[in-house]
Amino acid sequence: MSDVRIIVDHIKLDYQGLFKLNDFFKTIDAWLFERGLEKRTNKNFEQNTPKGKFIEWEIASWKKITPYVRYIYKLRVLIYGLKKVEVAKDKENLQLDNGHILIYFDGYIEFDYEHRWDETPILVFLRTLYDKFIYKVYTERFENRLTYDLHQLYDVIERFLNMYRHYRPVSRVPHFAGT
Amino acid sequence: MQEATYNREGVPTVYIRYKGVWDMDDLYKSMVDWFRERKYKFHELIYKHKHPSPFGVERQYIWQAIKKEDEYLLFNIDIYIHTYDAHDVEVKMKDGSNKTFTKGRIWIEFRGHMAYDWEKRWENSSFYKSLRNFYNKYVIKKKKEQILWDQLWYREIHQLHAMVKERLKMESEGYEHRYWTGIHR
Repeated sequence: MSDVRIIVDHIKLDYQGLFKLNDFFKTIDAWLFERGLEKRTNKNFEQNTPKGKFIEWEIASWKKITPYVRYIYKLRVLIYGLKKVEVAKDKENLQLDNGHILIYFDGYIEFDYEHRWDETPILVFLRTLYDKFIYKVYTERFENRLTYDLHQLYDVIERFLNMYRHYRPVSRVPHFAGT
Repeated sequence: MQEATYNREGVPTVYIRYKGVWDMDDLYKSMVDWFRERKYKFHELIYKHKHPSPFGVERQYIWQAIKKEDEYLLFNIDIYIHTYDAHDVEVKMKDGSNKTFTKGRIWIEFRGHMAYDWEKRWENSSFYKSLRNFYNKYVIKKKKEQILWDQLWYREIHQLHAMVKERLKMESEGYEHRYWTGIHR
C-alpha cells in the first residue's frame, strides 16, 4: 500500500447568503484546470427538499508531482436550503441562488503511488528510511506547497463569495432604489 | 497468486444522485444517442421493473457500451441506473402543452476501463503473453497514462457525465476539463 499522509485537515469555510451556484462550481473547476490537476468527482448529489435544494459535491483532484509523490486535493461542498432569488444590482434584476454553503478542504500527499516499494517488508522499511531521513527536505517542501495551494483555493472561493455582498434580494430593495 | 496481465486499466467511478423531477424518456434517449454518435456498440444487459411500492416504482438498468478504438485498444463503459419511488407526473410546459415527467430518486454509476489486445492475438503462448506484458508495462506506458487514459476519462466518461447532469438540469452542469484532450475529436 502506498503511504498517504494528511497534511491539510478539514479547513472549513462557512457562508450563508447570495451566490451564483454554477459560477461557484466553475470557479473551482477553473482553478483546478489552471494548475493542471486531474479531476475526479466522488459525489454529485442533488435533492429537492421542501426547504430548498440540498447538494453534496465532493471532488478529489490529484496531481503527480514526481513519479514518487502525488498531491490529492479533496473538497467537500455541502449546500443547504438552496433557492432561486431575484436580486437587484445597478438597477438590473438578476437571478441568483440563496443558501448555506459549507466547504471542507483536505490535502493529502501520497508517497509511492505506483506501489514500487511496497511489495516486501524490506522495501517498505527502505521507503520509510528514505522518506524520513534522505528525502526529508523535499518531503517538507512538498507539504508546504500543498498547504499553500489549498489556502490559495480557500482565498479564491472566499473572494468569489464576497463578491455577492453587494447584491440585494429584490424583496429587500427599498422602493426608492430605482429613482 | 494470479499473474498480473497489464491488459486492462480502469478509471475511477463517477456517481450521480438526484431527487426531484426529470424527463426519463429524454434522459434515456440522450444517453443512447450519445453512445450511438460516438460509434459505441450499446447493449442493455438488464432492465428490471420491480413490483411498485406505495411510494412508486423501482427500476434498474445495466448498460454496457463498447468501442474498438483500434486493433489493440478497446473502451468499455458500464452504466448502472437505479430509480426509486418513481411515479409519473403531468407537467405543464411554457407553451401550454402537457408532458409526462418522472418524479422520484435516481442513482447513476459510470464505470469505464480500457482493454488491450481485445482480439486476444497475444494469448496463444506464455512467451507472447510476456511480450504483451512488457509492451503494456514499459513501451506504451507513457501513452497509456497521458493520452489513452485521459481520453477515456475526460473525453468519454466526463462528457457523458456532464451531458446527464445537463439533462437532469443539475446545478453543477458544465465542467472546465471538457477540452482537456483537445477541441477536435
